[in-house]
Amino acid sequence: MKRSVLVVEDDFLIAYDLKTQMEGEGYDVSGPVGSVEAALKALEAHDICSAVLDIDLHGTASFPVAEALKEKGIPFMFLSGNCAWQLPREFSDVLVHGKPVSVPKLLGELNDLCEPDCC
Amino acid sequence: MAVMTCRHAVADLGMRFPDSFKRLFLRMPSSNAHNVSFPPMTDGDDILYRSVFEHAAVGIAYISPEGKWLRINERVAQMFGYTPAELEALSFQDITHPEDLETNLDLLEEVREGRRDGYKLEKRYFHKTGHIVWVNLSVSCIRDAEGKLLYLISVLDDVTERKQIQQALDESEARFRAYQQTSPDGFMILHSLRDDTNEIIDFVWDFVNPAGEVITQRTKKDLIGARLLESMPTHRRLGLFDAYKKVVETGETWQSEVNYPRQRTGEKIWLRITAAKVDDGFAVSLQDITNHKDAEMRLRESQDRQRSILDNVVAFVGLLAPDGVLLEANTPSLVAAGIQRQDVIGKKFWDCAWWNYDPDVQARIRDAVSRAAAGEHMRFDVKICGIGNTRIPIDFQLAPCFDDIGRVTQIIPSGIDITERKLAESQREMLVRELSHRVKNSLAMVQAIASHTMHVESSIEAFRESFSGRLRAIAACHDLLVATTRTSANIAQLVNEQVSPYTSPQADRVTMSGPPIILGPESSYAFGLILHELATNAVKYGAWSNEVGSVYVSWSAQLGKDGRTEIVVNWRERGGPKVSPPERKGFGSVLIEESLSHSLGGQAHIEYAEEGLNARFQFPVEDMA
Repeated sequence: MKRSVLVVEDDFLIAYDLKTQMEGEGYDVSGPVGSVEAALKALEAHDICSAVLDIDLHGTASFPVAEALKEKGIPFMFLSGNCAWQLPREFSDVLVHGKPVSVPKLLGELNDLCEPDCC
Repeated sequence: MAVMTCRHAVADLGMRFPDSFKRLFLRMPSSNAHNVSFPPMTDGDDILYRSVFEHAAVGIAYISPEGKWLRINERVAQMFGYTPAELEALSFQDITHPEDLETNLDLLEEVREGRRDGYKLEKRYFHKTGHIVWVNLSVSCIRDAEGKLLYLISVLDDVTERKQIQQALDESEARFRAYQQTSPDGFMILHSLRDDTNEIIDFVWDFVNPAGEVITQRTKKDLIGARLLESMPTHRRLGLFDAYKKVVETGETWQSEVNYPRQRTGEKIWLRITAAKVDDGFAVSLQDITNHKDAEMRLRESQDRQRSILDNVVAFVGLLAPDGVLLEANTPSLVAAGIQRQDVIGKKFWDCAWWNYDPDVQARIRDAVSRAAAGEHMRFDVKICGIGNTRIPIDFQLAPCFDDIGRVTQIIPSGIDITERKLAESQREMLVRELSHRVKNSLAMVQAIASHTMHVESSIEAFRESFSGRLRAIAACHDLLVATTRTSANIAQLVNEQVSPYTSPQADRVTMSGPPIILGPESSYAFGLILHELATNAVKYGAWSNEVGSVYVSWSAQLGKDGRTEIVVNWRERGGPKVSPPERKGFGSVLIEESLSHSLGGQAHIEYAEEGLNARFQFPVEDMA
C-alpha cells in the first residue's frame, strides 16, 4: 500500500510540482488543496499518514488544519515563504521547510515522519 | 499786674527805643549828664524800674563808649553763661564773633562820632562754653548836653533757636529746590479756584520745576498763574481734573498711569501721576514712564509672540529649572496628555502626568534631568502617556542653557511625536518581510515551472521555449499589477498581455468582447497563466497553428450561487485544424483545467470540439479588501 500524503499549498504550480514529484517517489497524494476548508474536507475524506502544510494560504494561516492533524495524531511539516507568521507555541516543535523547497530533502524528512507500520 | 504790664512794655519797646522807654529805663538826669561815672542805679531808683530791669525777658545792658559791660541784667548773664560779675569784667568785643566784630565797631564809631544815635544788628556772640549765641541787638545811646556820648544801652534778644530753625528750614528748602531742579520727574503745585458756592472750578499753577516744563512742553512763565483747564482742557476729558479735585476734597493721595496726549504734537506719552493735597490745592509729580512702558509692552509682545510660537509648533516644548521643577509647558504638550497647566507647573518634571505610567520611566527621566543639569545634552526615544492612557512615542531631548560662566540656568525639554515614524518603520519591516515572501514564492514558482516543464519536454530547445514562455507570462501578470493599481488588473488588459506575444503580427486573429472588469492579484496571476497556456496551445495545435484561424475571447459578470459575483470567460477557437482530445494530459492542460479550482475555487470546462477548442471558466471575484 502506498503512503498517502496530504499537500496543502495555495500556489497551484508549487502544489502541482510537489504532487508530481511525490507521486514519482511512490507516494499517494491527497490534493493538492489550496484552502483551509478544502484541507479539512480532504482530511475527513481520506486516510492519510502525513501532511505538508503551507503556513500562508492566500493570507490565511493554516493553523486550524495543523490543529486537526495534531488531534488525529498525523505527523506533518510546515512550508513557509517567510517568517511573517508567528508559529503558535503548540507547533514550535514542528519542522518548517522554507521555500523554494528541496523536494528530495522534504521527501526524506517526510519519510522519517511516517511510522514504519503506518500504512 | 503792674509788673506784667511793664515787662511787656520792655519787650515791645526794646525793639524801637521810643521815648517812653527812655523815660522809664534811661533816667539820666541832665544834671548828672557830665558825670561819666557809673552805675547810675542807686537806692533811690524807682523800685518799678529795678524790677523791670532785672526780670525783663530780653537782656538789657549798659555799655561804656569803649565797649565795657557797665551793668547787665540777669537775662544777659544767662544768655552768655557768665555771672554778672564775670561779664562786667569783659568788654562786648571780647565775646563777639570775629566775623561780626568789624561791623559792630564801625557802627559804634559812628555813634561815638555823633553820626547816628543807635543801630540794630543781628550778630553772633560766643557763649562761655564756646557755642555761638545769635542775638538780635538794638543799641541806643545817651549823650550829655554837649552831645558827648555817655554810655550805650543795648537790648539783646536771644534768637539762636529761631536762627537754628531758620537754618534747618533753609537747608531743607535748598535740598527741596535742588531736588526739584534736578529731578527727572515733573513737579507742580496748584491751588484751587473756587466759585461763590465754594465749589472747585479750576486749579491755578503756583510752582513748576524744570522737568515739569519739559513734560508739559510749557514754560514756567506760561504756567504760573494760569488755569489748568484753560491751558490743558484734556485734563477734564481724561478724568484728571476730577481726580485732582477729589485729592483736594478728601486729602487722599492719588496715583495712576495715564497715556497722555501731548497737546502740540499729539504724541502720546505715558505718565505716572502722583497727586497729594497741599493746603487748598495739590502737589503733583509727573514721571515720564513712556520708555519703561514701551519696554514693558515690547516685552509682553515678545513674550506673547514666543508663547504663540511655542503653542503652535507641533513639538512638545517646556522649560525646567535645573532642579527639575517644570516652569513652562506649551499647549501641544498639555493637549497630548489631556492636562491643564496648573496640573504640572511647579511640579518635578518626572512626577508629571506624561511619565507617571511607569516608575522605571520616571527614574530614567529623573536621571536624564540631573545629567542635563550637569550640562549634558540628552536625547533618546521614550513614550509619554497620552489621553486615555495611550502611549505616544517621542524623540525626546533635554537641552541645558548656560549663563556666562557656564552654569546651567535652565533646561529645555522637547519632544517630537514619532508615532508616524514608528509606524513607517514597522510598515517598512512588514514590506521587507512581504517582499521576501514574494521573492521566495516566485522562486518556488520558477522551480515548479522548471520542474514541470522538464518533466514534459524531451529536448533542451523545447524546454527553453516553454520555460521562458511561462516565465514571461508570470512577469507579464506582474507588470500589469504593478502598472495599474498594483493589486488589480483589467481583464481586457490581461488577455491582451498574454496573447499579444503570439498574435501581434496577426492582430485580427483575436476578438475580445466584454465589460470592463477588474481582477484582483490572485485572479490575475492564476488566470493570466491559464491564458498563457491557452495561447501557446493555440499556437502549437489550435486556431493559431495555421494562417486563418481565430480566437474569440468574451467575458461577463454574473451572480453566482453563493451570492458572490462570478466572472465567466469563454475562449473559443475557430478556423484551426480539426481538433481531437489529447492522448496525454501535459502540464499545460492540467494547469488550464485544475488551477482555477485549486487557487480560486473556480471551475474550468474544456471541450475539444472538432471545429475548435471551447473553454469556459468561472471564478468568483476576489474580495478586494
